[in-house]
Amino acid sequence: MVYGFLEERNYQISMNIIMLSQVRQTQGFWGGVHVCTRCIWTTPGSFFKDGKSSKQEWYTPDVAHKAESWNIPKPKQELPANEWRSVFQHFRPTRLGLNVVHAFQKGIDFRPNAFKNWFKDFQTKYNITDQSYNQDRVAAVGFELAAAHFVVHRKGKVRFRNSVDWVQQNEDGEYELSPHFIPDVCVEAIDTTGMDLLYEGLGSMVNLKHLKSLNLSGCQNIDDWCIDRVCAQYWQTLEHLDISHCTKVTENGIAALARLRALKTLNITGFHHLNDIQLVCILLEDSLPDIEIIGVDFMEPPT
Amino acid sequence: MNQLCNTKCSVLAKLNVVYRCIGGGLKGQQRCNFTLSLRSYCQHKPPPTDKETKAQVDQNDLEKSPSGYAKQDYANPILRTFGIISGDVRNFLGLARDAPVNTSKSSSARQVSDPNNSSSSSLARHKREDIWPAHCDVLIVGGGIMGTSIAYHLKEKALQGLNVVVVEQDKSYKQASTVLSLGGIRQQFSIPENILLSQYGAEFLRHAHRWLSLEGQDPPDVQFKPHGYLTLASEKGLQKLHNNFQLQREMGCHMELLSGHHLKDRFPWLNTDGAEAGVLGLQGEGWFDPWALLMSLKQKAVSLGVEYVEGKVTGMEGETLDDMVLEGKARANVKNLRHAKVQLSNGETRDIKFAIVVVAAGAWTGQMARMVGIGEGHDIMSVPVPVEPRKRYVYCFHAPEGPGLDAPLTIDPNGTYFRREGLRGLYLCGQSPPPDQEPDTQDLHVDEDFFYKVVWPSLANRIPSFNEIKLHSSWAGFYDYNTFDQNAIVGLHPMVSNMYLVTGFSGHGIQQALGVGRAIMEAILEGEYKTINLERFAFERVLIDDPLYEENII
Repeated sequence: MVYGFLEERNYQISMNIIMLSQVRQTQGFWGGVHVCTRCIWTTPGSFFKDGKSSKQEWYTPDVAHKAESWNIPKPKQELPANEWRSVFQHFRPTRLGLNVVHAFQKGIDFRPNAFKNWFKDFQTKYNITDQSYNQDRVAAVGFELAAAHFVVHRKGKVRFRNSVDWVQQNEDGEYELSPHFIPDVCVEAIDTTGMDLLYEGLGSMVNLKHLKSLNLSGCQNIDDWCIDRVCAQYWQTLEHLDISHCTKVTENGIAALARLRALKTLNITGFHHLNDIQLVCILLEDSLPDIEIIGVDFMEPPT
Repeated sequence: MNQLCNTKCSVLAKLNVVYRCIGGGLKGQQRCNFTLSLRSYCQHKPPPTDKETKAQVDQNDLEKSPSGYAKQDYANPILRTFGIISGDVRNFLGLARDAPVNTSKSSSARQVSDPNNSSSSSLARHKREDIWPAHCDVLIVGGGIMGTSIAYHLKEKALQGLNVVVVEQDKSYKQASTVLSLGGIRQQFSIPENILLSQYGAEFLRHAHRWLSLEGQDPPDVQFKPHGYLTLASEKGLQKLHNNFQLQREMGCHMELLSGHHLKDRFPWLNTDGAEAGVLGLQGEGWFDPWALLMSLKQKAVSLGVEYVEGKVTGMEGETLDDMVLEGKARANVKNLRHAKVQLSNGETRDIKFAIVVVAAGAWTGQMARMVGIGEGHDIMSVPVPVEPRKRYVYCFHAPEGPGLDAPLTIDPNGTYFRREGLRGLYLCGQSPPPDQEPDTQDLHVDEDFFYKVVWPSLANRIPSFNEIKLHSSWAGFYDYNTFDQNAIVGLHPMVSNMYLVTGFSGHGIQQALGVGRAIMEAILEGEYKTINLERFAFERVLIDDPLYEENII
């Protein structure tokens, strides 16, 4: 069974799928709490309403805000008082927006290079929307599991507290993660190697109270702003950070890692060509006494 | 040849004497270079007393130093046609206008061997003449970060639909507030619009490598250093700090309120006596390189088609519209500005006709507005734009035992601020002087006494490790200080139908420039603010005496 339903945008449909399909009994053990088989007749919220099962759904997606093009009626145009329009008003030409004029002026570039660039831009835009913070996902499973689902669905790895195994997709693209909220489940380690994590993707991994290890190695779109966001979100708990081969990070970003007060291990392989990187490492050691920096040899004087 | 250069200029004539005394010892390329450097030195000679000789000298000036723009004043249309076509042909073939500079060079070059001759004439060949932008759609007075940001946003949205010209008096930006600023960006303000503007600024900087990149060149790097801001508050300002913190959290900023021992634990180098609490900006706050931002914005704007003119706007004239009237306590007809006089670097004055003018002249906007009559007329026109230059000092000192890497830009309750600069123990600091001790704004001379008497004691009190420091260097810059309420004045002037005022940022212009640029673009192209509503910053609040105070001005 594919557990990707939480990534779908329309949860009304996905909730129905849960209700109608059979949930496989799992043998998993997360944080000491068994995930039990759910009978298809109980609603997900039954564990919350004083242990009694209720017919009411505890979660309704907010259709008013999440209006799609097909599910809201077009607002009736209010005519001002004392004005009258005939039926031909529906054929009235609308004012051309600036974007239309802009598009006309820019024209369509038919060169193959231009098409490649356009496609790359299109993919980037898709990735940004795909990785942006999704309120419904968090509302369904809470912050910790939402981060876990986000990472594992996009071919990353996640490890929970009090667990040694990493949760990741198998060869068939399947993975085992609870589709419902479980209290006291905490993500302790995230590994996004192999996943093209963006700045917006870091926004889907917010509010992780016990994140100890973050591995961003190889993600080419991680730059100084992402380092800023990592420091903002995990400065209290992060102990191991791996940003090796993230080519867009500069020495400004690495110097800012002094904000991670609990940092113990820092892997910056592939940054030896940066200006003053050895000086930055020495200053990081001054700022964070327990830190161990891997990947840059700064005890030797620069040749 | 005994003479270095043919000239009627008295200064150069004296130098000719000196040259003859040396015995004409310079040869070839040396001589060309010497001549060129003399000429550039002699640009700034004092004006002669006699009117006739002044006219003569002016004429010679014009002949001597061409403005780089094609000649515009012709006696009749036939001559004009001929002049324009021949100018185009010359430009096409790569020949420069025949000027005395070249003749003296070529005359001296005739004395020397052939390789030097070819190099000097190739120098001459590269002088192209540009066409003077005699009319444009939007004229932007001031080419600092505000003007450049507005130009960029306008051209980026309208492409060839708008003709945008930016007039900047100093191409090297020696006195511009943009390049002399610390380059900090923060969202810790007390007015929602200010927070939104800074948020967009951070967003823009994050995308700058993509949006401001030119084809075939390295993407620009604004050198953002994400260290955050720490605003401390004493007991007196504690309630205000809490209120501001609440507002910032509501607007979506990632902040943390630290107080008591949390503050001490987080920053062990800080002395928390008198600092009850502090707000630490966690995300999107820090400092960057304002020169890099200005240059990359300018390059992108120029590549989109904005024309930069190096000159000073000395007058703006227009018409009084007989059918548009503003009525309040009195009636007055609305004005419409039509053309501006621009004085170029060689003294020539030229005209630019425009449809809309945006005055983004920074600290000199008050002066520019007086030129139009704002502050010199009756009723509404008697209220000047309350922006004047205020000099602020920035001191750079060396502190080997300073806070190190983990230091945000810290702002003391009494207004002293400091931040780390580079990795070798240098720090920048400054403080706004009290209102009765404002330094004079004649030049950018730095008063080091202010550092030793006021700034250093305050700093050393807050950070004990700054007791042993050594002053390394210092500089001064002008704030475009809004004497009314220290907040931006953005929008149309009520009595002038096509003049936008963009000024009064009082020290936080660099972080709001991008948001304001976009807002003015929306106001010009769409007639209203679409993304961030800056109506509260309009000039009308000065007229009705309703100040909009920003509490977090440093």
